[in-house]
Amino acid sequence: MTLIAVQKTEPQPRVTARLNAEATGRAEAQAQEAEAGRKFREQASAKRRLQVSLGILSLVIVVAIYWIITALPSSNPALLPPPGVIVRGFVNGILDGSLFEATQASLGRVAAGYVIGCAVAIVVGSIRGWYRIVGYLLDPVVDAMRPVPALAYIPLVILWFGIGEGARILVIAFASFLSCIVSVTAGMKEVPIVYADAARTLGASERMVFLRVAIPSALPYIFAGLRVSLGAAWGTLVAAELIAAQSGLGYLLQAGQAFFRSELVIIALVIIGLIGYLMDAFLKALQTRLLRWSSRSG
Amino acid sequence: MALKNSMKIDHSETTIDWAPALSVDGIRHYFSPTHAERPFLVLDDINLSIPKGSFVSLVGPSGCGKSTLLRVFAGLIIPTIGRAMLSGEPIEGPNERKGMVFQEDAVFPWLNVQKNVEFGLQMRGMGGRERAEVAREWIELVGLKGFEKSYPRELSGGMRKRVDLARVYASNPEVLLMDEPFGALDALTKLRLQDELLRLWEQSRKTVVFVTHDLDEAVYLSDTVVVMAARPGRISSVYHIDIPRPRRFETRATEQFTALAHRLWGEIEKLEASAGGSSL
Repeated sequence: MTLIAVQKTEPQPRVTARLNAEATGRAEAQAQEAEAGRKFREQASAKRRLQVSLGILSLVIVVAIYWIITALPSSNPALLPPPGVIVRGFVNGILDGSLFEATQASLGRVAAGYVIGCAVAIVVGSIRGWYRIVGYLLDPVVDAMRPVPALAYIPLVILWFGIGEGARILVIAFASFLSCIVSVTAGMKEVPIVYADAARTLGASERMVFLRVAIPSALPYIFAGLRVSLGAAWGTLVAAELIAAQSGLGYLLQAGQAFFRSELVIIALVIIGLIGYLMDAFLKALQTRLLRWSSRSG
Repeated sequence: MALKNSMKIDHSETTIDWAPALSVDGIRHYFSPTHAERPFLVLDDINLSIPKGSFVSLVGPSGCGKSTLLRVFAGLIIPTIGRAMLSGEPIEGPNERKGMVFQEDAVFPWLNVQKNVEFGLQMRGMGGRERAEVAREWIELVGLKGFEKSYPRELSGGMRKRVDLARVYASNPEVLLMDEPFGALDALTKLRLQDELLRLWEQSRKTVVFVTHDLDEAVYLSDTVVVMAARPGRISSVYHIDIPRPRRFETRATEQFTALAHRLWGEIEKLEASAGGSSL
């Protein structure tokens, strides 16, 4: 009995709180908010500065290591040209127009092949991803073609079309197509059914559901496909030019080897890397702009 | 005794004798078996007639076929046996005459609010200027004025539901089918949107068929609550909700309201028990 009585008289802890009045410390709060905002902006720009400077640092380190290696007494300048030779070769190449010519030839081929390949991939991929019957018809063919690298078709293409410009563009188009169609098809299969059903109950015809709902909904995937296949097209181009061309960056690589001018090889490699990087940066910027609505736009 | 009058429970006869907006007369629907050998019966001999302008809710335990029945009305499912009727014509597929609001986010993320609400009008071939005008009116009616240019991902879940309501109302369907439209919203937003929906319904008097798990919601909104039972899906009873309109937040505190919700709850519990264990 006493035990119960003791429990009853024990004081209970209570929640305490001060109620926020409407206008307390408005000026002070504003100052604090401004201060917080300034801090956030500072943190963001500090992060950005760190990112850029570390990126530059890694490039500088790579160049420095290369420089040190070429300066070693045991290094062979014919195999590892010193940076001065590379820069001189680069300047000469720009002055006599040969680098520009090679880049132009390569870019022209990749543009033609890439646009054709991706256009076909978007049309075929979206139809086969959306319409089940077309999928049944095309899936075995496309899926059996995919594991074969586009370069493996070069001998056949040369036999059929010779080693003309058309043959090279065809191989690049093929490479773009094979890597682009995978994403496009996947994107069409991932379209939430509820979007299609909603459109149907709003009076959309099946054709409109395909054009106005399925395709826009799959756009993030289509963009991913475009970025992947740009890399594939560029890589295939260089390889195709290595084998069969009298112009272009791939040809420059091969000529550098044939004439024992390793600085030409290194210059070509740097240009190939730089252009590939710039093209992807361009597509990424385009994607961020066009797909602002999507959480995948980054 | 006032309570008795407000609840006319009718276990046998489900036909209401005004001209029906939607009706089914003995439809059956089977799902194709996944692992079982026999087709699975989801809707067993459903008879239901929904008069024009009424607000009808379908409630029942999981698996009772209420969402399936709604999709049959939408034309998104064609029943195995028989056809649903819209104003006396058989429903052979989806179109703009049967508008639908889904539980999932069905607002198109690639279109801004304005273009989303215009979508149905555009599909009907309405010209650009008229379309923009109609869409603006509905956006204002659901309280989203100023958000016309916003994309869905910049909006809250409740605001996206408002866009969805504006979009379906703007395309001016004959009937509105709603499949747990507020099921994924937080409790406060849900209460607000229920009032919003009642206001829209009171203005337009369009027939609404509303599927829900929430019995308070069903009683608050509806003229009639149809209770369905599971395995196989069938209509178990029909409650006419005679709570006077307009209904407002205070309605929820009335004895009539709580008694009806309680009564419904009891019936659903009984159904789940008799189905051999609840799905909860």
